[in-house]
Amino acid sequence: MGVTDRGETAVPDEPSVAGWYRYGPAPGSASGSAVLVGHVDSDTGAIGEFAALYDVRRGDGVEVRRAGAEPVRYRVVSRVTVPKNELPSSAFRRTGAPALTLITCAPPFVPERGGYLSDLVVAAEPVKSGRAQWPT
Amino acid sequence: MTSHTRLAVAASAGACALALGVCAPALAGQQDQAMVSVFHGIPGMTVDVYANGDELIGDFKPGTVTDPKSLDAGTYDIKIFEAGKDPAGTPALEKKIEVPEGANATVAAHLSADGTPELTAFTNDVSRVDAGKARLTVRHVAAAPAVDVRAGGQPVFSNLTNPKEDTAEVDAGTLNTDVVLAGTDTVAIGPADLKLGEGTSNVVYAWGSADDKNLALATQTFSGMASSPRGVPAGGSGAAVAPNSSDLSPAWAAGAGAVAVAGVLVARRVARRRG
Repeated sequence: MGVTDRGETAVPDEPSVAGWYRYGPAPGSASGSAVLVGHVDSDTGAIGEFAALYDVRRGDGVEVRRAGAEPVRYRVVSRVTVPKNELPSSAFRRTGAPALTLITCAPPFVPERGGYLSDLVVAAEPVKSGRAQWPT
Repeated sequence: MTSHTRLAVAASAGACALALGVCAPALAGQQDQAMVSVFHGIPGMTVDVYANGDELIGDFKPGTVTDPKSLDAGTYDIKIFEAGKDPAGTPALEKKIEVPEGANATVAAHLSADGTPELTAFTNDVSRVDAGKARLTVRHVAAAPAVDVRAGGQPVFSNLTNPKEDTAEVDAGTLNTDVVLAGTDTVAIGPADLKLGEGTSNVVYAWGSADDKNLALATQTFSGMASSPRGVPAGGSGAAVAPNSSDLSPAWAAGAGAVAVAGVLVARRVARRRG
């Protein structure tokens, strides 16, 4: 996904689809934070795939399947709710330790103020394949 | 010392963003540095470049630009000799250039509008660009009249004269550009595809001589100027939180509750765009 005219990330219209922020690192990259964005719900009332993030807890596993490459596994290390448009800069960093960041909208939901007023940011770090510890 | 340095950097406008954002880690402990690159835009002459009597670049070919090099801030006596000539002799070109602390500069050896070789120092804007954007700067260093620079047939810069530059923030991606005589559709250079990577600053030199029919473009790219997007508009109807209560008892609890392990996310891998 790219960037809209408003300077925000584009998000897939289809709520069952998550999008990768293509200007940042891809999942599985050796450095930087790969960002996936997805709707928590759509204008039509459908629940988005990323609504599942509301249930995610530290230690949970995340697997990103890749076309033409092995899946990459991450483990959730933090989940924070931040005011809309105050995303931590670390979410979009291009350098540093590899990470996966999942972002969707979060309550409070105030229609007269444009809908959701917060973002949910789930940060995950790679699970080293040598000692894969998949949560049970 | 540190506070003194910060004040000095803060006072030096656009260039300081580079020192803080890009160079600071590399320059820790040596704050009195500047990044300097050199562009050679005089056709038909391979040269040696000397700074304060020391050889900076040898066998420097026209149309090339060096990678930025960290130099002590200060004043440099730049001399350009035809390659292999005795640096004690009379240089082909000479100019004193001041390189301020924290600056990022490119010294261009080029032709004036009327074809006389000269040296011009440009300051490179390496401040951050907005998410999804790239910076495009065009420097007219050719023996040619005023020009317009077009992208996709539309003017981006108008009436640019030697040795001036113009700059704009544009969408990252590939731009099909050409250079035309100002106010006309007469193409002087191009068309050429410019690949502008997101978060980069791209300096294009229009160089050479119209009379000698060797006008050309050369590009210098700086990276590391990316910004985060302003936000992620990922909400819709409120269905995920709203239905029957005001708390976080969500409509999807029944389904998601069974998923003790986090959902498996499938990211479509898109061909990665590289600039």
